[in-house]
Amino acid sequence: MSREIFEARYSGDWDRLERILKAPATRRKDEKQAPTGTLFPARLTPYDESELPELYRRVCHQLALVRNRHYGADLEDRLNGLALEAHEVLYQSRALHPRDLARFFLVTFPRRVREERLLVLVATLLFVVPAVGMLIACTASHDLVTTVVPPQVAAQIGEMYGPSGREARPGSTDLAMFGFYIYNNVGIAFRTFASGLFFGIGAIFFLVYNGFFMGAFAGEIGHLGYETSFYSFVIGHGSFELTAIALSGAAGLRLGFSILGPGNRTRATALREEGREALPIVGGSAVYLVIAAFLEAFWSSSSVFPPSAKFAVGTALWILVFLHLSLSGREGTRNAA
Amino acid sequence: MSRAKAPPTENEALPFDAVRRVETPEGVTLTLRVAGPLPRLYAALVDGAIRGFAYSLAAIALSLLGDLGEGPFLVTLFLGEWGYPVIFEVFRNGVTPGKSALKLKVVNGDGTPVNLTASALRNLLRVADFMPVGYAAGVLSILLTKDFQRLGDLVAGTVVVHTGSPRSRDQLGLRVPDVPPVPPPVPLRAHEQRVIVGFAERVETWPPERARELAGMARGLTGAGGQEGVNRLLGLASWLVGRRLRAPEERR
Repeated sequence: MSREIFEARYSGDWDRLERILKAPATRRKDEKQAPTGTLFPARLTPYDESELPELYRRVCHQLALVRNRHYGADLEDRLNGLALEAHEVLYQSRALHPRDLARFFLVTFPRRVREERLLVLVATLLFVVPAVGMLIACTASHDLVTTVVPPQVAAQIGEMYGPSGREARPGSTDLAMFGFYIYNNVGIAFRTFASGLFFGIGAIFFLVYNGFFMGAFAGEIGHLGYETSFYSFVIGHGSFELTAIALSGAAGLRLGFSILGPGNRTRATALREEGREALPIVGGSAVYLVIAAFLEAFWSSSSVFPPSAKFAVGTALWILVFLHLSLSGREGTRNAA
Repeated sequence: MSRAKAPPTENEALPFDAVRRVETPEGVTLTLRVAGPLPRLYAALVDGAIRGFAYSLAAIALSLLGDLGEGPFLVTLFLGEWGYPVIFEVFRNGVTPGKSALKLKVVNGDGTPVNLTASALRNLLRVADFMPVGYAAGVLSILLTKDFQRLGDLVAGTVVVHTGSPRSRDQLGLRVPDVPPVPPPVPLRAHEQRVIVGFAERVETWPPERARELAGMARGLTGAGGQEGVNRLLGLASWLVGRRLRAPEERR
């Protein structure tokens, strides 16, 4: 069969497939059959659904013939492009449903954290040990504070947590601080995770550095004698924030260790698989940090409630975080949800 | 997830071709044209400019709110830096505005559209690509990997591909001259056919002496040298691209 005859016989298929693929992605009229309430509406085009797969298979077949018979590179390119585009439409992933997000936070995230409990423990220690060590050291020797906390910041600590600092803060400052916490803290969590790619070194650095910083900060607070004001401030959001830092560090370590110890996989494969496994932990940390930003901006800084109320609520939030990570999404409870 | 690799065929690209082959469940091999560092840099610059413009608009609009606008602006900044690429890649099928301008697109390694997981991974790891300064790690990774993948692409298993259709031979001005077709005296192998068609497509770009010289190399096939050799090769090429003297009857 010559190329001309081949083209004459099959170009109808190609034109039809081209029209279907070029059709604007519009929602179908019969909404009931379409997946309703999807967050990411799938690419729907007005055509008979059985037509696309059939046309796609035919074009694949014709592409193979064109290659085998050397009908020419231009025809091959056209069919390759058509097949590629149809392949994309046919094999796209399922649209996300709002339910998926709830399931992610309540099931996938805590489960992944429990599966990585060893790494989470390591990350927590990498954070807590420098913090406690630094606190003890700074309590013993005041000079050590400025080795990690810049002197200007250390000078401001007194204003922030002293008797005058917490009183009059306008609402606009709360909102500004909320924006800052989102931008800064969630960004730090993401950076901690991503820099873990380099054999875990980046994640370890961020964990240890943040530990040192907070230890020194608390040490300065101790010297000033503002413990009540400070700890009643941090206990509220600390549950979510500190946990999220440790978790994103654990996710970063997961990434780095996949290169160091890929097992019986290539390093590239290990990296892809472990990246996918680590992502829910990073996503969950981000949600935690958004919650923490809300608490830190609007609850922790509030001067309406007495410290005792803040300690009570803060303790309850810590318990909530532990319950979420240790119990949510367990087999027995999944069906009830 | 192992890399889809087709058995070598006559059409196998040369080792240095910037293509990635994907075998589909239908048993056919599709070709993805992976994009190199330069178009991707331009796309990143366009995206950066769009983000910068959006930030300035947001800053102007939010400054009307006075101090109250500072928080929302930082949230905008956060969404712009971390969310912008993910939102576009997930909702617009792998295409950010910058990639759209350069006719690029992110796809999974097997040619399917990126989902939220892949897009989030490759964009979170932008941080690692940036290290230690100015995307040095990412550029190094792009230059060292076969499919031009930066670190984020390696972790997410994605590639950036060209979407514009390659220029056809007609557009490139490559066309076999319209001469009466002559069937080859002996069956020709695929690469022989290619050489003859390639000769015919380019013959008008050479001085006649050069064309005669080249055609002389095929004397064994055409049995003639000089201009006659050129003409006979063109006749063969005409036949090889499917032209016939009269419309042949369709055979089943």
